[in-house]
Amino acid sequence: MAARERWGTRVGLVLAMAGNAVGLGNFLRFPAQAAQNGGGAFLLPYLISFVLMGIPLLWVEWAIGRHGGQFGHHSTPGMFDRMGRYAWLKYVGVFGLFTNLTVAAYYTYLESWTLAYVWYSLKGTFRTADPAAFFGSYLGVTRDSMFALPTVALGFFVVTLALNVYILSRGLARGVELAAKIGLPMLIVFAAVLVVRGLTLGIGDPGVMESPLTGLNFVWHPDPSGLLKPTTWMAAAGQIFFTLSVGMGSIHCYASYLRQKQDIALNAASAGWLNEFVEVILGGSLLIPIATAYLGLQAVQAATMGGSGFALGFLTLPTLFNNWGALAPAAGAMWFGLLFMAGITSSLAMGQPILAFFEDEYRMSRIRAAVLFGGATFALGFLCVWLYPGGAFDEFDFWTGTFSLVVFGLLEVIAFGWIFGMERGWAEITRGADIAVPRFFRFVIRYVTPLFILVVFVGAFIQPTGGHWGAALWSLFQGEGWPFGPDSVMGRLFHVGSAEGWLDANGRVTRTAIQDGTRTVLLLVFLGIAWLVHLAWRRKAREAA
Amino acid sequence: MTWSAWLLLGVTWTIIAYFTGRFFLGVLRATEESEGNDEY
Repeated sequence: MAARERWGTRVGLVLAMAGNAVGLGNFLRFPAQAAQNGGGAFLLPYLISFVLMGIPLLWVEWAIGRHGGQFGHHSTPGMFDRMGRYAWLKYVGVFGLFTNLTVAAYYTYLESWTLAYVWYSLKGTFRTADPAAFFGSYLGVTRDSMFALPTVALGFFVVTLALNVYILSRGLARGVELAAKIGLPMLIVFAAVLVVRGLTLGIGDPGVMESPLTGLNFVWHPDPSGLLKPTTWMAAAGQIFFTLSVGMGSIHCYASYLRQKQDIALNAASAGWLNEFVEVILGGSLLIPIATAYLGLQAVQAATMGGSGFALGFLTLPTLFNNWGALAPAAGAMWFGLLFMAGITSSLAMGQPILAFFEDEYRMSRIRAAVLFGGATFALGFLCVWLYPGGAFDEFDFWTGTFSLVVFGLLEVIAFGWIFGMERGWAEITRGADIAVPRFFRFVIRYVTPLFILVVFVGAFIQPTGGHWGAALWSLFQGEGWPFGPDSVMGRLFHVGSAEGWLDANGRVTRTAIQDGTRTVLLLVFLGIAWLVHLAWRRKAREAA
Repeated sequence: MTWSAWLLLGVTWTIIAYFTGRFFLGVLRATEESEGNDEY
């Protein structure tokens, strides 16, 4: 077994955990989700989901992690193996490796775009280039081709991945923790500067056509009818799930480096609320107000229609900063710099469990494990680069960054409340706690949180076209079947809305073929990790005999 | 901004700032109480 690593400081641990949670979604996804799902009315289900699902899941994951760490396991297969007597529990833990590895593959690529855009902002590229055309050419997207081999983007991807591998290879305290201690405060300062500048833009300023407060109003003005729509509740619960990075296996890993009696209740609450601060207060006041000031509300409403601020953040904002005169390069560098910091503190958290698995279960050195992680991430990430136009990136995002998280979140909370047991579970959460954890969370963790996630899961599985649940039920009762939406799990699985086969009339590979091929690769990766877990445990059994 | 948007923003920001501050200060205070020994 590898020498046991520890966190250097408690504040470092909390910042690393918060850095894991704070990601690009805090700035790009949250404001668009809020604005498109009832504005201020979105915040009520959002905060309820945070208390009934987010915080309990954080405590569960910290508890599973610290418990597993006492047995020398810093990745989820070993942790779950120690939660009960069933041999299959360790295979539930496979999700905690699979998700981290596969999300790291596409997320590091995305992170590399932000690094590249820092460079291009400083160079002043966006003073003349059209960002939309630039983005397409950066990714190597050409008309009628499902493949791309963009050398510059590939170069930035390799640099970003190498930086991740280097930081990970330095170890927990000197690598991950140090990066969080630098990255998170820097991100908060950059975001605060941009928020203050953005919200103080006035109608007389160059290029400003509307008050930024109109954009803030778009995010916050409550539409009470939104509270009655299931889609609002599902969007809020989904946002909480993804923003806290629960269901990944990375929180478990970080918590496993704690000693048995070190607090988890206060640390988890602190990291969780810090993420909320960055998301709601900073993230909610940045992108949409600035974009509204320069583009007008109608354009911003149209750009965020799908619930994502990605197009605004990457394709529009670089040009809008040109209105800031000499400050434009610095503003662009701060915007993409903060996204990069948000990204790297999250991708490091994805790498650490993979390193820990090979260190603990295969007795590999940290540096070798870091290089292995880099190699595997590059191989999978290359698929996202090469097949980006064919939709491989989106497939990774959906199946690993969305679907897999919810499945693992559901399984782990059931395993914790019902197999590990609430008696032991509660003792684990409250041991060494520096705050009094309200007892009603015992009930919440056992019953409410699983039910909450189950509703989100089922909702995502069968979400009807356009999110019209009433119409879908009516259609079902009329005997016309359930209209699965193209973005539901079922819709994705069966390519609802698309009639194309794997080859088109000219014998060329179609998007459907690439989507199915990507899914097959992901399935093989899952099975491959399960096989590695099987081999590790078989070897242990032999050695014990 | 409408008054209801201001109200919601004010209430939500207050709740989030309060709990973020309270818990993060709690971590710092607990570190101080262990005589500044932040060793983990």
